[in-house]
Amino acid sequence: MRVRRSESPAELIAAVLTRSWQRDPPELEVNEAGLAAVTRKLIRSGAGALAWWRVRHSPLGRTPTGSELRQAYRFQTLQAAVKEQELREVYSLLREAGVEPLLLKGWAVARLYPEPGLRQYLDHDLCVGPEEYLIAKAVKDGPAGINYPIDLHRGSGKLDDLEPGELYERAQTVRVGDVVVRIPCPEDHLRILCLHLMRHGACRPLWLCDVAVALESRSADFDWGRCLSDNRRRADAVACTIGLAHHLLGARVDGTPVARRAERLPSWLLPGVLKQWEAPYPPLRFYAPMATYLENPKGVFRGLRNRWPDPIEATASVNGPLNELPRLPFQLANCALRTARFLGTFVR
Amino acid sequence: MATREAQQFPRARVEGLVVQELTDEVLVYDRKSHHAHCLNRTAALVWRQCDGRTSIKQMRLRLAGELKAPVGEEALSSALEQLGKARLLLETKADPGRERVMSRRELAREMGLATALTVPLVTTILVPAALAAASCASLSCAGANPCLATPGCTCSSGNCVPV
Repeated sequence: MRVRRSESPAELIAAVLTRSWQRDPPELEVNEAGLAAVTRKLIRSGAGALAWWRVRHSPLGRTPTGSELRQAYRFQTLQAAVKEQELREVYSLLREAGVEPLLLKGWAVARLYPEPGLRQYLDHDLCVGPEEYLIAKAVKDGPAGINYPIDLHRGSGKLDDLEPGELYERAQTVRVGDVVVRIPCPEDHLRILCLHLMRHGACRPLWLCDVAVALESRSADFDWGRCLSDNRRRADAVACTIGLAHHLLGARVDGTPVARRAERLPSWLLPGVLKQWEAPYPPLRFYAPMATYLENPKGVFRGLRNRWPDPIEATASVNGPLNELPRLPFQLANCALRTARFLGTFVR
Repeated sequence: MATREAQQFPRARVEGLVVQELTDEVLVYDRKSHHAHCLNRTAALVWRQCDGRTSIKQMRLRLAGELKAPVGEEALSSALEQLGKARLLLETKADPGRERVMSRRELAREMGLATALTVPLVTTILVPAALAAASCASLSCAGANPCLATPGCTCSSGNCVPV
């Protein structure tokens, strides 16, 4: 086993997850100390099982760190089975109320991995048409639905630009056991996964694995025009996200119309992602809502500092261009937007 | 009488269990107790034999055939005891004549090194330590309130607290 020169934790995470979504990933060139340094973050961010998948046939798999990852794999494998059963129950509940949801991310992307337990998800992202939203919300908040982790989106919500009707028209149906569920077509799903990742600042390495597996599992008749959509900035965001998966995780882009853009990313983008992967997961801003500081002002400056947007999230939030311009204006715009929303909650 | 019969013809529990079979082990999640278990190959073979119609004597013979190695009475008793403790069997009751479950080491010592690989093992799958430090670590995270630990996850289990 070759030992690589010392790398940062973020680079180690990238090394561990490189091609981890493949049935037989290549040998990992990281020593046990390096793997141990990032195991906690991998597990906490839901990538523990993928890391085990990568090392399972190697000497690393028989180390104490390997055992810890194997435990995460077992845990996630069982969790996936529980979640799948849960999903079937959720669909039955909603259909009884006459709602036909569209499933995004979660199980819909986990199915692309060699084993469903390799891709952890905790809730079910469901899109419903605007006319069905209130009914679906009533089911979700009612006694039957309250115990299910449903993330309900009116139309595609913030996840995509397409009208819900278009998403549904282009959707495909797949089986979850004896239940048929509707998921976006591969083209729409890849775009949604890319935009979602950018919107959250690429803070979770697992999401980039999703992009990679969705990209590499596409069929020969994959419609890139449909995937990239007519919106130039959105298309560029998708191309750049795929480029991140290529540079950091070894996703194959040859033969795709985004290959050229994928090779030439804005100079701040890769470092920005690596900085995100160095930071704690989950991100610090999720630790306490800002409203809590109204009663306890101590720590408000730390709360504000934790909420300073990273350049990736800031750019995505205002649909900014992915070019070489400084990111500060986009970060300021993002702050202004969020402040306005925060203040708006008091007006309502 | 029913318990004695259950001990002679053990029966696996089915209801409320989620089972995942892997290459060399079986994972079981108990939806009632929220415990998760890992059965090694031998324990899994024993569990599969527990259909309520197969006697312990028959089990020993079948297992020996599957494992291509002799299966001692102690090993089988240990497996059934472990499965019972994990609540994976129906109508089990501890054998009053049996004070404790033999440890794996003791079993292996008794059975000899050649058969050590067939020692049955049922272990509890603990939440990975890295997850245990966070909230939202349960297998069936469920609820409606925003979860602070995992962006986008909704959980009102009451267990979600900032870390």
